[in-house]
Amino acid sequence: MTKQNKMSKRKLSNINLVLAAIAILTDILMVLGILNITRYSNFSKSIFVLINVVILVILLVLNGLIAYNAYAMKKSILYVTIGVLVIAFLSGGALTYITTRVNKNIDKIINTGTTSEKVEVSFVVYSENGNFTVNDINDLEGKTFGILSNTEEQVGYILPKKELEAKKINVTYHEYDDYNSMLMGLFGGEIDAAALPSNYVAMFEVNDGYSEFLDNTKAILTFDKNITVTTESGSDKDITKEPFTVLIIGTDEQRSDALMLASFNPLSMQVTLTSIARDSYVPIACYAGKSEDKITHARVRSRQCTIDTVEDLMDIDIDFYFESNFAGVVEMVDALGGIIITNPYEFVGQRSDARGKMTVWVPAGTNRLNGEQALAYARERHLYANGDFQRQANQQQVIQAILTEAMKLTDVNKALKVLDAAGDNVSTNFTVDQLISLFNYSIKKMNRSYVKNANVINMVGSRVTGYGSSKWNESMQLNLYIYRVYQGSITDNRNAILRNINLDSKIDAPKAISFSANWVFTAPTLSNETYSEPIIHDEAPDTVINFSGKLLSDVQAWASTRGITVNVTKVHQGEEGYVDSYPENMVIAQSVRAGIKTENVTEITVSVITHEGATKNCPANSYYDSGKNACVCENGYYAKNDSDLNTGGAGCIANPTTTPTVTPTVTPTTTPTTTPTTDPTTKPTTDPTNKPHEHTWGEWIIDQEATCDAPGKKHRVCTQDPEHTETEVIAQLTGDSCKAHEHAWTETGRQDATCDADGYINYTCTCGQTKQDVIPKRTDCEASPDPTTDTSDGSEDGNNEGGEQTQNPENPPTGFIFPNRFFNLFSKLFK
Amino acid sequence: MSKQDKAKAKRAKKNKQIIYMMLAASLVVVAVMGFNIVRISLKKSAGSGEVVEKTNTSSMKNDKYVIGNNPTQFQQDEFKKLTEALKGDDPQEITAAVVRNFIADYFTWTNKDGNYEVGGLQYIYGPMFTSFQEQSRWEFYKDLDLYISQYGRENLLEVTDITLTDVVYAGKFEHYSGEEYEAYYVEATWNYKPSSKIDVNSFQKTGYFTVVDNDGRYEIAQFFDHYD
Repeated sequence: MTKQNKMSKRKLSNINLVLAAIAILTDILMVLGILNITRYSNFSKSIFVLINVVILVILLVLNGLIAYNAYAMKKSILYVTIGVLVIAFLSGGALTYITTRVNKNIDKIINTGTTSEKVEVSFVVYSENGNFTVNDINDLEGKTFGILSNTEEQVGYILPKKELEAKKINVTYHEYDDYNSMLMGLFGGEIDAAALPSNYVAMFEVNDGYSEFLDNTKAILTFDKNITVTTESGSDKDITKEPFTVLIIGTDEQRSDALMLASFNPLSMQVTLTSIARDSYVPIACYAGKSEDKITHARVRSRQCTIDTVEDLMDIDIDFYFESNFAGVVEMVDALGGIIITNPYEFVGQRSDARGKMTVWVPAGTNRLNGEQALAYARERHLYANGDFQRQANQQQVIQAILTEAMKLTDVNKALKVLDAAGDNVSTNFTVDQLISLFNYSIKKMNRSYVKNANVINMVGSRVTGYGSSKWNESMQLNLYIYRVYQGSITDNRNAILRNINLDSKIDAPKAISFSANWVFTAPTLSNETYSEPIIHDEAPDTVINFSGKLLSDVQAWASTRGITVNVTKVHQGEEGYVDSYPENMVIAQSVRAGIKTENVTEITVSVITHEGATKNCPANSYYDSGKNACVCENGYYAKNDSDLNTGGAGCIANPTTTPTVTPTVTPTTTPTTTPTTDPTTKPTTDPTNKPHEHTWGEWIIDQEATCDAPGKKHRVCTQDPEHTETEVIAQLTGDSCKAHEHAWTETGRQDATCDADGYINYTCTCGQTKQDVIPKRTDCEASPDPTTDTSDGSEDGNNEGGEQTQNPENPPTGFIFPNRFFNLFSKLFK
Repeated sequence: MSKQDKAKAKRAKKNKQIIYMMLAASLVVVAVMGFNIVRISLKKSAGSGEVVEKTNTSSMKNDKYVIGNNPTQFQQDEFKKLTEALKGDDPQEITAAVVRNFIADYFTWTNKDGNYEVGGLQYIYGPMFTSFQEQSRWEFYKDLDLYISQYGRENLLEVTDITLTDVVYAGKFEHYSGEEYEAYYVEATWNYKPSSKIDVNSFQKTGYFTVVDNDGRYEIAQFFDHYD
């Protein structure tokens, strides 16, 4: 054996050792990957068993190869082994990576036990005028502090109490049933500070009238803690056999902005989807005494509170929930590569991360929308006559579109991205096995259909109808918008859901069927739009109105009928709030805000505009008329546009019959000096540090002549420092010569057209204006002797005669010009 | 022992170790995977909802139509007659066969999996079959889930015989889309297999049909349960 061979054997032995280590690592990766996917084995047991067997065989072959290699010590086997090992190792790595990522997200989505959640609490104070007396937690000593009455509530009760006790601050606690009442207590001065979720502004600003109050609040302390949250497990129903209900919750800043109660019947494959308006004013299950509030606020307390509230409202047990926040919609739709939505109206909506900023354009028609657009579409309500209800329908459309796109997914990477987005934003208490069995069941149903495009799932949309109403809030002195639901609608929707989920329902007498291809079937609605029920509107008290923009006389008339004294503060020119275009005595501010009950008001002070003693910088040839509160032209002048005159625009110009007193400083015939009088390259004689100096200006240089239609421009250069220039506008030409007239053109120059080039004629009017007419190239020239050009094709288009393209001057080419008649067709197309 | 032999022995020992290592790894893999296979096999599905097993779906078809899922013997016989009729070019004969097959499928519930499985859709005027399917789910098939769960599928409707009047040419049938078709009219009555659970005679048993020749395919353009 040569030395080289000996080396080779030793080397081979070492390589085998390394390969054995990698093979064991591959075994581990593969087994881990397989164990990861076993939780999904209910998709198809036989396929999963087959996968296990195949992987087992591969691993055994791999291990066997390594062992045989160690035994035989042959290079040829080594290469095969390395090849198999590399493939197996990479596959094992990929399998483990993908399955771990999938499982991680699935675990995040499936929420059936206890999880740790970070919550943030803020101690919030309020001041109507911005003078806060409590600026620090220590200032709370001896004050009244608002907390929730529910002793199990972490954010509203446990954590703030612990914090205050830890800091040994003694306060008097005032308990509230819900955050809304607590906020009202804070605004009404009942308490000095309140314990609220840190995002309380975003949570409550959607309430009409709250923004003004929320702007005057301040968080004096914000802290976070990790708490354990227990979510009720979903039903253990066999959902492929028994009908079930799901509450679909769309959240935004912890409010439930979209609520849909779905029911699914696995036998009929019928799904009912009932939307509940977020402002529905209903008893909230987790409030003390189940006091009423907007249903959207129930989610602020907890998800379970929302579920219980809907259960109470509809009198239906909810088996499962499915929750997604709005950010999730954006991320999921983007991960899907957009969804197809048919939108009747173009609009601009707000971005998910910038409340109030309307920057998302949603086009009309059927389009593929990205995440932000889809969310804007799902949120939009102002555009529609039926506001929130159209929004509910749109939300249902977005859900369907997401499901449709998700069903089409074939790209693993895309699917993983969608799952990542879902993992961060979606939560449900279905188990994985329940979802898999439902999926398998639905697929089997779909496979039964022998007719293409036949719908297997029958989705029936509905909503709990009601009417807009208002609720007077004494502490806030505000009339708040609420939505009162019809009991009849609740009953109708409940009956439809119960029929769908109760397979023991009474069967109606059989009905015959008739059909015509000329009928268009419309599915019946589950709920009426209106019901004959007493309409409840809180009797709103007489309140102060918003006087802004009204005249003082209106305020006085309003106040006199109520016995209220009106004090007037006049706002003069130069004072805050003064606007010179506002009319005399227009109200710009009031001491008592709109909405306050008039019975609590004895006097009101209004700030009104006065133009007394006002002066105004009016443009040229005009002066300020205080009576008219506007600039007016001097005698002999007129303004082209009065509004321009008063907003710093063009001044007055001389009446056509009057000789202007201002004439252009430079006559249009002056030959402009095109170079500065000083050499710009010459070093300035002035101090190089650019010390200020008296400029010694050179001649005016005309950059652009003034005409009847536009002003001109000129500049001059300082002879001491060529970098200093001064520019002036040359007034637009006026006078008789510029008065609109029929021009009297005189030919001032001409060049005749040739076979090769256009000609022109120059004209000048008596007013000085010039124009040029083009004479088209000659087309009567002899054909070109160029033998390569075919001129015998009988084309009616004579442009090519002569062997060269003759352009029609009225239709100049905008695209390519092609060299012969054949290509000219394409040229026309390009044009 | 020479240095060379020592090295050889050392190599042999190392190779042996590798072989044992791979053997051990294989045993672990077999044990884990074997356990996993058993676990999968014994795993209970969270759903035991049954879907009626498809039978005889693709075995009977012709150029124009395919027999419905789980056809009854009566349906199979009618389908054979339809296939025969299609071999000729007698519109009246084809019309009669189409109507008979529609009735046999649509009004038979013993072979339906659920409300979603509306029978005879392929015999309905093409552009309107999804609309007809939806209409059926709200009307004739509305309570099929309740019938299945309360009385059992086998006790439900099953068409056993159909009687037709002579098929007559009915001129042109005009669809609202502006399309016009040659149309044929026929009246039908049918009977159901007796059931101990439901009153089969309370269900629809008559129909007045108009069939159109839609580019060589005969489709039901309208039918009524009573004659006005």
